[in-house]
Amino acid sequence: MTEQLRALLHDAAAAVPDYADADRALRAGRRALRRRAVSTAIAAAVVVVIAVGAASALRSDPRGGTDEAGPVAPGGEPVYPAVLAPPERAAVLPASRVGSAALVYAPCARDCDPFLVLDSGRQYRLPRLGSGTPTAGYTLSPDGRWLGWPTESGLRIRDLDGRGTRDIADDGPGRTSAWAWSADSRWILAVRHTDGLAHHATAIDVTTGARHRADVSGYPVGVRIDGRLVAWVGDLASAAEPAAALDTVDLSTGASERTALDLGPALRTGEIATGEELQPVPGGSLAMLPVQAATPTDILGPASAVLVVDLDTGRVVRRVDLPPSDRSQNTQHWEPRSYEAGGITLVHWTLERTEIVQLDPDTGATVVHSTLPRDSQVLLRGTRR
Amino acid sequence: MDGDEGFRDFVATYGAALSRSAFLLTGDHQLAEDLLQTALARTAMHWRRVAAGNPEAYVRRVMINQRTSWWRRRRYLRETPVDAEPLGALAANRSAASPDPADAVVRQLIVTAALAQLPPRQRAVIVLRFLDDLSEAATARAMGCSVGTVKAQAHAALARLRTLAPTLLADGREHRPRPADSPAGGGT
Repeated sequence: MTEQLRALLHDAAAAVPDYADADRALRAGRRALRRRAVSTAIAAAVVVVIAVGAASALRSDPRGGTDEAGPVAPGGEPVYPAVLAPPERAAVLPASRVGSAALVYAPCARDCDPFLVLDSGRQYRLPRLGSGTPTAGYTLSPDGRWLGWPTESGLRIRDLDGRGTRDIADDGPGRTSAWAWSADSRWILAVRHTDGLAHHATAIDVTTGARHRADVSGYPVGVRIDGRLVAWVGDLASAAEPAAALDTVDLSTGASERTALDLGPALRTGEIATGEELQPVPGGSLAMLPVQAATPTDILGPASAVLVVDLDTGRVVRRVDLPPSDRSQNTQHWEPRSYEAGGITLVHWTLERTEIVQLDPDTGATVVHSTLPRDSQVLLRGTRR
Repeated sequence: MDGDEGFRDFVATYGAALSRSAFLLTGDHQLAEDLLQTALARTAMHWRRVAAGNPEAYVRRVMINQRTSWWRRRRYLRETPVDAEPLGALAANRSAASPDPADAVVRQLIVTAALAQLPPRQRAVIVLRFLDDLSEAATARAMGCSVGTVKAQAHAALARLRTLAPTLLADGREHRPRPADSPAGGGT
């Protein structure tokens, strides 16, 4: 029957005209970007008014200050300002030492500049790297010391606690971009990909400049504190088909070790896990694996939980359920971004604002660390987005 | 928007195939055009990122999500469910041996009407698997679900289609005119 159906479908579609109009799509895309920018600007203006009030109230709070505090040395937990909005006049990032950073954010989804927020509370304007999400392209190490961005010829990593830089040059066609950091911020994994299948990986020790390169199969998702690459093998994992594996690859020798993941008991019916969002957990031997819920009508559901996976054994150490997102009206949803010493850091999107929230994995209690304008884009330490 | 030329090249290459998918996902030329253009506009917005991966798969995924979203909101849908009985009658009245050119039109009507009675995910599975010839794994990726779900949806969809259009799809009873069967086919 399937061959008959295939032939019938091809027959039925044979006379379909070509509806595709690239220029119309480009115009529509630009209009959508402009509309979003205008609505975000209005929302941002409202938040700025609120922020000014809040800043006055927080004047005695060191996190509310922006200019008086000196550079903060890397190593501690990120300090998130209670309210984040672009300062009236923000300097561009100077070449001198500025101290560790907590995050990069942009107060809109498109068409606005991103800002680097230091642990001291000071903000610096960053250049936009393309026409996409304003924070796209930047990367921040888990300790907040290193800021990376793509250049014309590769990737540059800058030491915010000094003046040094590391450059990773493109060594072939395609763009080199930052994919992951080791939990101790020593290694960054940069990947040049050309066709979505071949991954040319480079792991760089930012403290010494030592680097290892190799082409890897599988999907690079992380780098261990010893510089070995972690790649996700397979496709989607679900409760019905939980088979997945991680390859740990020594880029200097090419030696690879496969660890089967035992996700089945931790996934619920309809949940899906992919390795693309794997995030290291402090210490380096564990990683956080977000889980998405899918329903018959909700093709790409929001994150419903995170699994903490032992990278050496493949065992799921714990499952942490996330606060529920609104799946029917999409008025609010949660995204797990990183696993810090204090808990799981989430970004909470609502129709009114964006929030950086920490979830206590033991109690399920949440604390709002920072409030940003609606549609803000947030890049936290050590995360891929 | 960077990469406009790259986007235009992509649309020129894949536009026709994506149009066919859009038509069978909606069963309506106007809806299909809206669906594809909406997906292309979203793709254009994210082109720099999308171009680094698999743009064709991205557009298909956006179309399926959008189609499902329309289905959920209903108000956008103009297609009317076709009663099973008239559809069956239409199929039964079709002369299998007839070389009448109208036969192809009838077949197309039956197929699109039968597809219209499938829930969106079953319909998407049928289009991705049997029109776009994607593997089960690629279909699962396009739909954001597991391979097992694809298999289950395909099984249910085929069973439903077999009920809706038995004369077209029942094993051993289907007849499609081949070139040699037609008057211009050169048969002896």
